[in-house]
Formats: sequence, C-alpha cells, structure tokens
Amino acid sequence: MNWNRVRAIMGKDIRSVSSSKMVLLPIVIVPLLLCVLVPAAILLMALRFDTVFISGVDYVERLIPMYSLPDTLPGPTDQIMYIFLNFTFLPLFMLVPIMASSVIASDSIVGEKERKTLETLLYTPVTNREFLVAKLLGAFVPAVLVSWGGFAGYFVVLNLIYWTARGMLILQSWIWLPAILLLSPAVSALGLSVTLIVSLKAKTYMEAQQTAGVIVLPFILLIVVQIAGLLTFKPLYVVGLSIALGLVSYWIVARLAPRFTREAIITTL
Amino acid sequence: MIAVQTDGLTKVFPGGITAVEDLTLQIEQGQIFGFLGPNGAGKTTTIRLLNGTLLPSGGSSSVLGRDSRDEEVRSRTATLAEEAKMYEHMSVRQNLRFFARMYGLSATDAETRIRELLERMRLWEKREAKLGSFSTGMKKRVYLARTLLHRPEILFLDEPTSGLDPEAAGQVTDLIRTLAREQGVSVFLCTHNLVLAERICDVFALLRQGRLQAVGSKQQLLENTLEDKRVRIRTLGSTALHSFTREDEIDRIVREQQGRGEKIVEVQILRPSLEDVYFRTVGRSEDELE
Repeated sequence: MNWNRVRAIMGKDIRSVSSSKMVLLPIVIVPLLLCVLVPAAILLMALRFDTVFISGVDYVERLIPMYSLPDTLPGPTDQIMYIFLNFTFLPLFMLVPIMASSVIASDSIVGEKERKTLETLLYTPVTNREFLVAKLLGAFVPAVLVSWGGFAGYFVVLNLIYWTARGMLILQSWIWLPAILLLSPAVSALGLSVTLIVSLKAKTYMEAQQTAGVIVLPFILLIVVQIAGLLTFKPLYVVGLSIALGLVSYWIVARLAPRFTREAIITTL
Repeated sequence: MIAVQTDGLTKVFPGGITAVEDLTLQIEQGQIFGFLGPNGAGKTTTIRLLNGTLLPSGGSSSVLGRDSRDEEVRSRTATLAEEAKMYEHMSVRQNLRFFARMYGLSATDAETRIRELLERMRLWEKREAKLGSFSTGMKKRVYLARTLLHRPEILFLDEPTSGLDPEAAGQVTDLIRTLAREQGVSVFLCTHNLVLAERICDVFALLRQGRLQAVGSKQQLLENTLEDKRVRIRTLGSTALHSFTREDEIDRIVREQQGRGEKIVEVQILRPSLEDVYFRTVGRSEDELE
C-alpha cells in the first residue's frame, strides 16, 4: 500500500468538496440546522413559553418517569427538554455523519466519474486497493470531523442558552460520550458503505445521492419510536448500536471491495 | 527491443459484445505505431487492455516485457484518452503536482519537471490559473504535460488532436514526433485522423469491428492492398481515369487518347494514399456513411 498516493487522493477529494457549492452547502447547512438552529429554537421556545401550554404535552410528559433525570431540573418543562435534547434528538444527530459521508463519497466516486476525471486517475499506477482506501478514508475522516463539529456547536450553544436561563448545563448525559466517539464514526461508515453500493451503478452525483438518501429513514424511525415511548436510549444501547452498525458497514465494504476493480468502475463510466 | 506485444488478445464485454478479437501485433521501442479504425472499432478498448485497466477475455499482452496487468506497466507508460479529463477546479500546477505524486515523483523532482514541461507547452505563465478557465487546446497541452511528467517509455494516445485547431494540432504532432525520435519513446497512436497518422507514424494497423485487417509500413500496406494504379487524363472536353499496372503503360494510354484526336491538357498519376488503403480495408464507418 503506497500511503503517499492514498494521501494525495484524499487531499485532492477534500479540495474538491470545499470547492463545490453543491457539495459544501449540505455539509454546512444540515449540521447548522439540525445541531444548532432547530434545537436552540425549541429550547428557547420551551424556556419562554412553558410546555404545559403546548398541545399534546400530556402525551410527552408520560416519558418523564422512563428516564433517570438530574434532581436539579426545576420542573416538567425542563425535564421534557432534558429528555428531548439528550435522548430523543440523538438519532437526529446521526443524520449529519450519514449525510456528510454519503455526500462526500458520492462526489468523490460518482461525481468524479461524471466529470470524466476518474478515468485519468485509473490510468495512474494507483492500485485497486489504494484507490478504494483513499476514497473511503477521504469521505470518512471529513464526515466524522463534520459531525464532531456539529456536536461541538450543539453543546456550546444549547448549554449556553440553558446556563443563561437556569445557571446549569442541560446537555450532561453520559450518553453523548459513546455517541460522539463510537456511534458517529459507525454511522459515517454506514453512510459510506451504502454510497459505495450505489456508486457502482449510479451514473450521476444526484442519482447516487437520491438512492443513498434512503438510509436516513431508520434513524427517523428511531426518533418516532422514542417519542412513542417504545424505546428509551441508554449509553449501553448506543455502544451496542455502534458495534452493530460498524460490523454491518465492515461486512458491506468487505463484500464489495473485490468488485471495486478499475474494470468495473471504468465500464460503468 | 519490443515495447508492446499482443497474442490473440480478445475482449468480450458482459452481454456478449466483442470489442477486440484475436489481436496479434508487435511494436518496437521508439516506434510510432498508428492504430487506425472508425469509431467503435475497438481502439480505446485495446489501449485499456494494454495499460491494464481492462482484463482480457482471451489471449495475452505484454508491455515492456511485463504482463499488462502488472502495476509497473502503468508506472512506465502514460495514457492520454480522448474523454479522460483533469481537475477543472484545481490550478494547472495543483493538477500536475497531484499526478506527480501519483507517479511517485519527489516534491523537488515534481517542481522541476512541472516547470520544464509547462515552459515547453508555453503554459508556465498560466500555471496558477484554474484548468476550467482554459480553452480546449490549452487543456490538451496540460493533459500532454501530465502524461510526460514521469518520463514514460510508452505513450498510449487516443485521438490526441481531437478538438484542436490546426496550429495546436501541429504542435502536438511535432511534440509526439520529437519524443519518439529524440527520446526513444514508443507511441501507440489511436486515431481516425489519417492525415496526422500519415505524417508521423512508422507502422500502421487497421482495425475494423475489433479485428485487425492489415498491419505494416505505409509502403507495405500500399503494395499489399492496392494492386492497380491510376492515371487521370484531362483533355479539352473531358477527364478520364485509366488503370495501369506498370508505369510504361502510361505512354500507350496517352498515345491512344491522342490518336482519337483529343487535345491532352493534363496527365496526372494518382498515387494511392493511406486514405485509399484505409477506406478499401476498413471501409467507412456507419457515422461517416450517414
């Protein structure tokens, strides 16, 4: 494995992402919306207008006994916000690494096919293995970094808002530790492996994006299931989910890697 | 020394489409080998088989004494494909630095080589400009610089002058010739530009529907393909074409015509060109017939 070639391709792909508005915009806007603006708006509204005035709050209040909450939370509004912001929204954050990894991988594989630069790259001495590793790492590393950036924004902004109002932090569950260190990379890997499947067939970046986008549905389902009270997220579940997704991603990539030959890639150009 | 050798090389794509069939040929080091044929004849597939991008369905090919699938083949050769592009969002220098790394050049070597090539292509002043801002001709010169970065021993060129104006095409042609003559680089030139091929190639191979129809120097092809020669005689009233096999027959043809009282204005021997051989051997492609 020639790591100099791998690093060269990764660097070139990252430069490509940062120079394309079509690719860069979702990577910036989605984390900003999901990790900062929407949760901040919900928290500000909850602090301004007590949740008892919100329609359907009774339904949500029945979730409170299902979680172990800090005693310092002043009332049901803060308790519900604590549950929502620490647990219920957690799958929502997983959309960031999924989206980032699939957008970057789609651009670096299918986008490169579409721009007719992939053929030139395949005529160089790069091996099939180096090519695949470079394309995977070139999407995986930025996707994890983007999701960590989103988490950082979420922690700083939401805790700052709550600190200003109540003099304490609202995001303090241990669940975030495995979520950041394990689940986020595992979900990035999943987004990547699904995009890899799609990229062998897709002819255009948009086609790859639309097909790979289906992967967000299970994560939306996880939010619904939590609000319905059918599942309460615990740190151990997050660890388990991370391992399961990591294994699934590894299985997909391991199965797909032998098919990812220059011949297969070039004949689908 | 043999640069490229194929033996019964065959490529059948899934779905049963035979792109190249039983191709056997040999190219000497330093030779400019013209691989001619209409669109869809199998020229690009042959290049991809030779540089190891595609795997053969049958037969074998070796480049510089190594199996085409060997990674080293791609390190010692370069391919300029008609459709293959470089990164338009990157500057010329960034593009060349990237490909220099892919070919394992050190940073210092790469900088020296990039300067040398860009100066040769008259693009040094434009080195920081984005490739996307260049005209087709300028891009083609950058692509050529890319193929020469690692000093390849064999160049696979697929329609290197397509999209170029006559002046730029002439520059590319001169460069190919210089590389072959002065540096001993072998050139495998795929084209349907017969004028270009005739100007620079030493040996020609004619391909039709994946099968080799003829191979040899221009003289050999002319001798093997076209037995009859023709003379055009223009008189005051008409123009007529006459076939002959030996040149001393021309005198008889002219005298016969004069004997009929016709005033001869011009006698022109029509020497067969590569184009005549090409169309007789390969025929016109469906596109051209339309």
